[in-house]
Amino acid sequence: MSISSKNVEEMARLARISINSKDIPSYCEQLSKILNFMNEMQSIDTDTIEPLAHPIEEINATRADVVTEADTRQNAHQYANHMLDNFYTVPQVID
Amino acid sequence: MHDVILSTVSTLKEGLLSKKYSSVELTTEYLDRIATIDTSTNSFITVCEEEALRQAARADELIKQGKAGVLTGIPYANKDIFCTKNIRTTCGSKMLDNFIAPYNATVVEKCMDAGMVMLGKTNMDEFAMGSSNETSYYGRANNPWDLTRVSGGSSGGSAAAIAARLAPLATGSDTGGSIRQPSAFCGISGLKPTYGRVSRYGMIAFGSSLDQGGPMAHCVEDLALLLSVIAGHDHKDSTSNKRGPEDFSRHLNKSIKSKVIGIPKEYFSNNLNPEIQIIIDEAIKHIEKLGAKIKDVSLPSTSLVVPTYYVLASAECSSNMSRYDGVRFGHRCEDPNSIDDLYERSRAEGFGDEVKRRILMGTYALSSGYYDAYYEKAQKIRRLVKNDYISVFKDVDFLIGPTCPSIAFHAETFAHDPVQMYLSDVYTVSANLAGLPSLSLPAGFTQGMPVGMQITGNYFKESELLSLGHAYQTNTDWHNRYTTEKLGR
Repeated sequence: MSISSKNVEEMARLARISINSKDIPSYCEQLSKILNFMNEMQSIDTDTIEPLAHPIEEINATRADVVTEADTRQNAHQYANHMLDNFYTVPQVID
Repeated sequence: MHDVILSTVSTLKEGLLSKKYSSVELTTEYLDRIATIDTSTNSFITVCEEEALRQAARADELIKQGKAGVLTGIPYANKDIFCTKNIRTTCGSKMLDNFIAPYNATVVEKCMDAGMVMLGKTNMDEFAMGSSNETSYYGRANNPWDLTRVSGGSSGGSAAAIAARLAPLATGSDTGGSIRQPSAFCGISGLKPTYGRVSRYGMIAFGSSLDQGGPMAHCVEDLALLLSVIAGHDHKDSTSNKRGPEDFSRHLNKSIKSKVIGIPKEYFSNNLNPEIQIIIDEAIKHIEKLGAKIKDVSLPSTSLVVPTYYVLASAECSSNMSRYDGVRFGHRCEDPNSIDDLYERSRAEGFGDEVKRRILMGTYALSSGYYDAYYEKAQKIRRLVKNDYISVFKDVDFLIGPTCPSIAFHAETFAHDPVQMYLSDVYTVSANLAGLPSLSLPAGFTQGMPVGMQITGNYFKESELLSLGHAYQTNTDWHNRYTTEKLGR
């Protein structure tokens, strides 16, 4: 199996990473090698095995939905690159 | 003062309590060494001179008032994956070159509460993705035993700093071997605790079901001291284990007589460097002489652990990396002409090649049409890997083998072959897939380079693991070898 340039373009679109078209052949080559290596997993039958998502199965402790910290908005905003009146700014999204 | 750099942390502690030197003097000694030696090793991304001296002065005050804890006034190096308030946290990436976290990681908070002194933030592979430190945006940390070789990854900066005696203790994180492999390459001791033992809050996420923070040091005795400070339940981490704080130094001298050591036959295959095999065989004989029983065992899924790990780690990486969008923090491209242009160029410019490769592979493994064949398949094999361990730990207390199939390799050896680089993680990734605690210790030298022995234990058996490691180090001196002469001091 190999990764085609169409695959690379589609993955890059889904992952929102722009890729220079001159780099696509090297991505195809490297990612195909990685994919072939990953395909070694297909050598065993796992039909009856339950997937394991997490090593320790007692997970995701939750807490009551109450505010426990003071407003940290200013703290979080101070390192943002582009702010206007307490809002993050991005290029226009709606015409 | 120069002798202090060869001391154990307990000796440093005695020096502080007996007023032989102050924490400010001790900290200054390490900062001076960093200024002189780290130009060769490149183990720090950020050195926090002013803050360290402030923390040391505060520690001296606590010692004077008789309020010192076990590690009060002891300097440490902090992997640059742990968020630090008011001090930048880069995670080895251009993406976070200017990032200053608005809060401290729990590990950092615990070290501060213990009165420890943070010397700086150590070098690492970008977002902890790498086995050689070569993916760092800040250049690789070099191996103090031979500067033309890699320090390992991803916690290579912490390992190099300990080996070059630039810090007595360091933090690391381990997603697929990132504490143990650089520890082996640099001839130091490193422990990946059981998943959930050390809080992940504020430790920048890569593979959330695999990531675990842990201690790195010259010897097991020092690992136990740092683990006692950083371990424990944290309500801010939803996967943190409920166990409370523990004193991991308490049982260090417990006898290892009658403990059963399993030797996985798959770890001694043809891929293992024969010189390393001889060293590990010797170490196993040594442990047998100390009273442990040796038993041959099998971990049948070993041949599949690396591909399985790379599917899961890449999938979790692609999900975790999605937060870097150029909007709220981190790198933002110049003059974006649309929201998609903002995302796509900020990420293209901010991430390095290896991170991009993993995001793309992870996106592939999770995408419609491939999910069952890759992501779900890998989760099923993960169950088999865990079952292998559950089965083997019915008969043995520990598993011993090499930490890595080779000694530290020369820089750029695998520059064009990511798969060969991935294969160097063959012995370490399974402890992350299963969530088990695992220790790497120096066990000998070949070609002038250190060789690591890996000891894996059952869930939450860190105390037993450390007592076995301590028994080995009490009877050997590989952990006392140092490289400072080669570094000009």
